[in-house]
Amino acid sequence: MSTYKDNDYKLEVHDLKKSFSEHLIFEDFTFRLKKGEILAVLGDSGSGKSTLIQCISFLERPDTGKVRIGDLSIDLTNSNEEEIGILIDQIRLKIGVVFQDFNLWPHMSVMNNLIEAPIQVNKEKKKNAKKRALEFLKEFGLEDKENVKPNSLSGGQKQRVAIIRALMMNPEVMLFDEPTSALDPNMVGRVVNIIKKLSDKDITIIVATHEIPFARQVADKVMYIADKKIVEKGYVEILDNPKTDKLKKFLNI
Amino acid sequence: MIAEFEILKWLKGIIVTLELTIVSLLIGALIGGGMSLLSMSPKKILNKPIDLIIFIIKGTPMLVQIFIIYYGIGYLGSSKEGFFWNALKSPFFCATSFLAINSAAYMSSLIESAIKSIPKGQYLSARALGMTKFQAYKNIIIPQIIKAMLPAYSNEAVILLKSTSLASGITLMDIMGVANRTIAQTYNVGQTLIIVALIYIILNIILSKTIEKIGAS
Ligand SMILES: Nc1ncnc2c1ncn2[C@@H]1O[C@H](COP(=O)(O)OP(=O)(O)OP(=O)(O)O)[C@@H](O)[C@H]1O
Ligand SMILES: [Mg+2]
Repeated sequence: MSTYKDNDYKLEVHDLKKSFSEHLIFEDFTFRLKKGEILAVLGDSGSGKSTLIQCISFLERPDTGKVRIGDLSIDLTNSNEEEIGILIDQIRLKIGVVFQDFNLWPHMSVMNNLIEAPIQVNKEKKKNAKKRALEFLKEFGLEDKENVKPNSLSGGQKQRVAIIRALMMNPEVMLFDEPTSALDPNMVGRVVNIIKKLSDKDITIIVATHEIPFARQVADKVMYIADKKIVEKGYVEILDNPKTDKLKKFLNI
Repeated sequence: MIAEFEILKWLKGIIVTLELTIVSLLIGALIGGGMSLLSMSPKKILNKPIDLIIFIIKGTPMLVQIFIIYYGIGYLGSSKEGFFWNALKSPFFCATSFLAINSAAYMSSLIESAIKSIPKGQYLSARALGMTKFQAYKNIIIPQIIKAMLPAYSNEAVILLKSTSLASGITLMDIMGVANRTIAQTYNVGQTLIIVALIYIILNIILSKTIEKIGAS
């Protein structure tokens, strides 16, 4: 008898495969996360971390495989196109993505960056969206930035605006692509705290990174990818006791 | 009496110049938008002809082009009658098509580089937040494209307004046409051309300010 029911896992990725035209990026990607768990995806530059994040959020279309979030499941192999299209629209609403270079919209104020999607997509009342945005801005120490344009913000501030922008849509899962790469090293602790706080609110989180110390600090689970495959995965402790030569080499042991 | 007639004559010229400018700018922007999309297409049958057209338009003198259009089409249509051919032979039609095509060629490169200047992540982040393709373009991408090309567009509009003066070469009574006739009648070359230069400068200031205002809103 298995210890877990399927529903114990919030996010499940099964047998995911992605190639660009004929060029295989990864295959046999299978892993699952419980509600509020933080997974760090480790791998060298070009190993496919960003591609994985874009496939889970369906910004890129995986070739085959299955992605399930809560009770919403997309099976790329066994569903018809129309069905998949509808499901993709639904699953995107459950996922928040924080991109490596944040991709804030430079022609809009911080406030408008935050309320645009809730108003357009969820038809939320502007007044209500603004109220929620202001609460988030306060919580993240950005209350005085409401009316400035994103380009006048520091890297850390941009990142927090990008996080709030995702949070405005009440995601159940959040994906972070290299959240430390555009920041001062002394800001890393703050990012770790923010991500952990999100996980305390039951948001399930995947962080793509190639920084081992950061992964150790932030993650419950880690997954090391190389040569188009998952090389090792498990709780963060596997970094202290790598089984494969590949991971040993990556960790410089 | 004579003074009144004089002013009326110049006003008519200004109106013709403005008509040529505005009609060509609008049609040119539309054609230019289409051309930029075609020339960015990965299909060679679509992008090569557009690139060739742009190359020819940018590489030949405008005076030569307008003569080719006017006398070329005039020659083709000289034996034919009817609404369609008469429209083709009209100097106003020839001048606006010439100006619109020219403006489209320059605009197409402008639009293309503006589109390319918007990082793909801008679109991806909109989609990731649940926006449809249409919403992402309408709210996120197109406003940025317009903003990116506005200064160059305003510049292009000024050049186009000045180029309308070539229309006088095919008998149109725009500002320059009025000037030519005035000079022929009065032999008052210096004074007339100074008036003409002043009128163009004033029109250009108004034009670029208007575009700035439209862009800001
Ligand atoms: N749109 C695309 N078309 C073709 N190939 C792509 C595309 N996007 C990514 N790739 C390729 O997929 C591979 C994985 O890229 P990806 O950006 O996912 O790696 P990464 O692990 O995020 O790297 P980094 O640490 O540098 O961000 C690379 O070889 C890249 O060239
Ligand atoms: Mg990457």
